[in-house]
Amino acid sequence: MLCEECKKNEATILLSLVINGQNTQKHFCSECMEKLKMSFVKGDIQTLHAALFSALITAKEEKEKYQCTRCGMTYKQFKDTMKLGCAQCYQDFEEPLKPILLRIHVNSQHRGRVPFMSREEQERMDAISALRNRLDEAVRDENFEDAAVYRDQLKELTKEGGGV
Amino acid sequence: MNTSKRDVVVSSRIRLARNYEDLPFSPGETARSAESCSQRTLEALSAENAQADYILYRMNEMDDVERYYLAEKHLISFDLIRKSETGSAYIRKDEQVSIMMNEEDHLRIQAIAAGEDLSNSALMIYRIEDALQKHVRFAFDTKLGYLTACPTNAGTGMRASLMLHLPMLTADKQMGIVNQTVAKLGLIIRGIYGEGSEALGHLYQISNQATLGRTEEEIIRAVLTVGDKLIDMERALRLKAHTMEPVKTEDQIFRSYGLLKYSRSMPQKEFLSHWSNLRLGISLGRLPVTMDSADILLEDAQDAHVMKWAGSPVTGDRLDERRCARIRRHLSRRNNGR
Repeated sequence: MLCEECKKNEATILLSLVINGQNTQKHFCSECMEKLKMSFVKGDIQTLHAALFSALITAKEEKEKYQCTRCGMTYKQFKDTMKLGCAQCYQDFEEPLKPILLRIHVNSQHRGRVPFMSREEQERMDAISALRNRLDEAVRDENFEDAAVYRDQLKELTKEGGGV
Repeated sequence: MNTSKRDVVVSSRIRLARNYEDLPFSPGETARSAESCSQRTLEALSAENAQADYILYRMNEMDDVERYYLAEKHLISFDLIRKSETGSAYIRKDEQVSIMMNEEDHLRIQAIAAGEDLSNSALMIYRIEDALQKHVRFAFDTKLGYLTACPTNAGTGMRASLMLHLPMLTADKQMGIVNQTVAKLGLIIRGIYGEGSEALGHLYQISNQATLGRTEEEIIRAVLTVGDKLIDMERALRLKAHTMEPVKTEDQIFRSYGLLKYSRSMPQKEFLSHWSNLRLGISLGRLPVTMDSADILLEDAQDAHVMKWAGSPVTGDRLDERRCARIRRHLSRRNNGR
């Protein structure tokens, strides 16, 4: 990747910036990074600003390129209304949505009710793990008759869902 | 129902927002997708033999009086009324459950109960959701939970709320502080009638703000905990007022009672302020009216209810006259039954 500042040399440094809570990244070559550092040390605010500002613009353009692959909604359309076009939008806008969801909910992992399909899946997983424990115990106690039963039940359960 | 909190809690509501996985969300809604949403819901209800328990209301087949009548009962939202072409709702005949379709989300399943009854309301909508889910697939993501048109509702899609009557906290100018404190706990409190500093009727709705990352039970517990705190504060102030300034408090109550009972014309805004004193008087055991009756009156004296009762869309002075007639009839009835 080329340096985003001089667009000539190979970029070797990744600079992460958090401006107004927005996380942006910019790639620099060592030469330009040195210039940036010097401008900071010398108090050359103009050069510093220009470099950082361009990083922000890039981040903005990055965001605007997002578009839902199913319904065609663009990220800008979403920002204007705060409404998403379909379930797929959540996946295609995953990156820019992350900070928004975190700001609203202070959490990012769902807890609580899940649909039937997932619930059945969950129950199956729970049953499998309980059976595995019982199987281990039976083997440890050399209770091979029970172990054979558990093994068959496990086989049956894991077959249903295409293997675990 | 938990009758012990009835002096402050008017009603409880819980709603779940759900969307069909494969249909466009509301911003991309088409006539066809909206019809598909209604059709699937109907089929799922029929498959569960539940269809006969519900009445279907289509916004495009109703006039404004009928629409606002349902909104005043909190059975549908004003947002649904705005979806006048595609919006519709299944309302259970006991009026405890409504399923709005093609609102901001494909489905808004809601349970409503008098007094504090959040846990039972929750069980009621879980049962309905479970029944529907046997036949349909809702948009769901293991990380983000149920997916909704607006990311503010993603996760559980649940909004649990209590409608509280807080006349003394309002008079004591504490609602500003209450607002700030409640916000820090991830909840939100707002006036039911009219925004701004004074909520008409001193009625407030307290509900959860965040829907992702907390379980349904945790959300309900948070609303109940803060609700209980507000109930305690309001009760303490009521007791203080009635003990320290009995004449002033009773004068306020009986003046309003007299006006409600004998007036001949009253705008809705004025009604709400007297209604608040009426409810306060009942909670202090000073008026021969039941709490149930007062809460029914709250709905019955509102514009669309009065118009529906009058049988024609009366307006202006005529509306205020009919409102008074309705209030008088209500308060003069023995036992104040409906």
